[in-house]
Amino acid sequence: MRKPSPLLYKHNINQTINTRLNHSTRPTPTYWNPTSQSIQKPIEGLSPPYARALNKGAIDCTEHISTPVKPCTNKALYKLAINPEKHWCPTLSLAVDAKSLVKQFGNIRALDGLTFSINQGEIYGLIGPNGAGKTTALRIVSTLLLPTSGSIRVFDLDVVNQAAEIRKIISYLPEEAGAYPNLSGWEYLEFMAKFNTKNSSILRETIKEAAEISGLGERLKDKAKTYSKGMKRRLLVARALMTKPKLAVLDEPASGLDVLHAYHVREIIKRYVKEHSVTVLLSSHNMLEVEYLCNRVALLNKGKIIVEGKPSELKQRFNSQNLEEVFAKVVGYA
Amino acid sequence: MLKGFQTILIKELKELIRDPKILLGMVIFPLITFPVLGAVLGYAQQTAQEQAQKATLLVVNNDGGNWSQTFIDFLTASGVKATVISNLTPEQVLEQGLLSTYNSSQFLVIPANFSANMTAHTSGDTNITAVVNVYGVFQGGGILSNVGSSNINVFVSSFNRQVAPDVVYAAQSTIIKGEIQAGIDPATLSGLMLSQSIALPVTMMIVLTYAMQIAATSVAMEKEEKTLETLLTVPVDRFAILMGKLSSTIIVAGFAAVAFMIGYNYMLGSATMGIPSAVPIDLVKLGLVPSPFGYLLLGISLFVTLLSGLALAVIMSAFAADVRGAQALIGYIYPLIYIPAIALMYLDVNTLPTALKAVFFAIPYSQPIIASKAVIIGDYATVAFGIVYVAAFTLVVMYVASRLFATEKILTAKLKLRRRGFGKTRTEKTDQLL
Repeated sequence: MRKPSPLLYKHNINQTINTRLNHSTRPTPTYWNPTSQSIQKPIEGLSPPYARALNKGAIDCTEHISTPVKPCTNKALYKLAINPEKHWCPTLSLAVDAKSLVKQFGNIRALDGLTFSINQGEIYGLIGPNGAGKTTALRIVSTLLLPTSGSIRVFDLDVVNQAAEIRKIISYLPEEAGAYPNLSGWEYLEFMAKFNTKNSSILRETIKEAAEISGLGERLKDKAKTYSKGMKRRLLVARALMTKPKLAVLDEPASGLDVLHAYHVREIIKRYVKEHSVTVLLSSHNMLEVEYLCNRVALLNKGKIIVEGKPSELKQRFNSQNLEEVFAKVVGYA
Repeated sequence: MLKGFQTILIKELKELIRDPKILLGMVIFPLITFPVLGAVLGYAQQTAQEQAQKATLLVVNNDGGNWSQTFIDFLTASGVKATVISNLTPEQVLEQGLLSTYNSSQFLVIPANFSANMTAHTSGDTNITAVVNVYGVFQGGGILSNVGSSNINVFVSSFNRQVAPDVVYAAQSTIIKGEIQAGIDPATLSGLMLSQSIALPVTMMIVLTYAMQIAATSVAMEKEEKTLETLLTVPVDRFAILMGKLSSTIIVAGFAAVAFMIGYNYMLGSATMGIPSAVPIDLVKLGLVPSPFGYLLLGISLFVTLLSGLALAVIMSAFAADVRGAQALIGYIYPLIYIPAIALMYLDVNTLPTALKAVFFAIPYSQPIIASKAVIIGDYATVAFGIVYVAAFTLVVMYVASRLFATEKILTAKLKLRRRGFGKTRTEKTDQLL
């Protein structure tokens, strides 16, 4: 492994601290432990192939991290700012880092040693049949469920012990989620936005942005119970993205929608991720959707990842026309 | 026959019969409630009768003649435990605290002219009647509260049958809060109070049931509409979610309690019109309406009970997947509301045997009904105990609710109905979670 220049290291650390504390840009990630005796030690939290690629300079990890972020609340970073030489800088390159996740519901093992990692700014898809454990995985990432065993960190925050911190930086869209039927679309967006900001001008901007994302126009003044399924889903997607979360967890974002509404929702996600460098973890049954949206996908079956990679790589590896065919081959249907 | 009617009918019957809510509310509940109520009323009636027979009757013999002695002998021969004293006015009996001394709740005064009147009547002057004055302590509403005075009427009738028709007349008076209200029959007063004691439990049942439905629906709706999952992932304290839900229902319940108290006050003030009585009965003048402090205590009792019911409803609904399921689960609490409410319409809790009394006091939802009677007779200690008890119960329930909201159980908890056909199978439930 190539040892980085101490000067470069110091520059990166200072930039990280300054950018986080000045709220101007996202931090430049660091990939090694500065306090470690051996600089060759693999970086905790990175899967070995990805860590190797990073250290070889094959992947530019700064490409997704240039948008403004919220004020720094990370204690580790604060300590680092006080004394950068003394403290270990967290592995900021990973948005999600799950290791050997197990979730047991009575006798049912919903997740059976699930391991995956998501890079910042990436759209990562979990695909699999019903009961594969996709929603369970998403719910664990979203702090709704606790893993029976294993570990999972979201932006270096532990899901079990730092759930409240994680909730400040994520947004979760459940499958078939609804809005409050007696609130108007606008009121719903306002209600949800208030949890993230108390500043009235930011609140107004957030809702305005959500209104644009949803494309519902004047219908936002109507009660949610008058919305069609497609309109409701657009409202909810807008809600999930309006706060510019660092991680958006979307469970079947275009589930049950007609072609036009599904297209609209996918376009929203694609555009928003590109514009705001939001990291997305999504699940879907729709292979075309996944292929269109995701940088990487994981095929999940019986609580385990059976294959993972970029859609193009998977198609090539399994000599398939599309992900649907890949999936069929992997699970033995084709 | 309408085409397709039979098919629709069979399908509807299957749907209804297989719904645990229908089964619970329309079949199991009446089958349990009414036998339980019957047993409670029967037991209470029997106990009250036994207690009345065992109770000491204080007889003040101011006559000292033969007929008064004959009358007392007749009472004793009929099984009445009579303690005879003489030459005291009713006021003196009360002043000297003789009722508590002899552990009695009523006394009978034989006036000085009793023997003379008896002799006159039996000699043929039937216009003259011998009067005995019966004074009973008013103990609140309930069908058993006038068992004692009824017994004396029975003895007087028996005596008359033996001697001469209508020779003795028992004039009933009531002792209310230590003061004699002459001419007011405890039975009439009890009947009047009973008619009013029905209104409060009925209204209480309606308000409590309605408020609990609102609270349960509030959480269940979040689950059904899948808004709860979203809410649990936003940066908000989960206890704040619980408190928000409870507070909104508390505000509604608060309004309900105030409306309740206004209506109840109006009813007490206006219900005495048209009641047949030797002396016009005015409950306000008799002091048989709560004082302002009594109203306050009753309002607090009602409020904490509503709060307790709402908190329990929120917990119960956390175990349901949807609104319908939540309403079915809430149904399990209804017997705890209905049984004490219906029973206490007819019974005064103070006249019940100790074991039964303890059961009624242990049910939080019976406290406002007990309180409504207690405030009338100025028994504020009972009301205060009830408030403290229900408040403690509510705190425990709210603590459990907060623990439930703080964990994943709010999403995953499901009450398993063991009966086959109730709800979903385990596999279906697990699929939902995945």
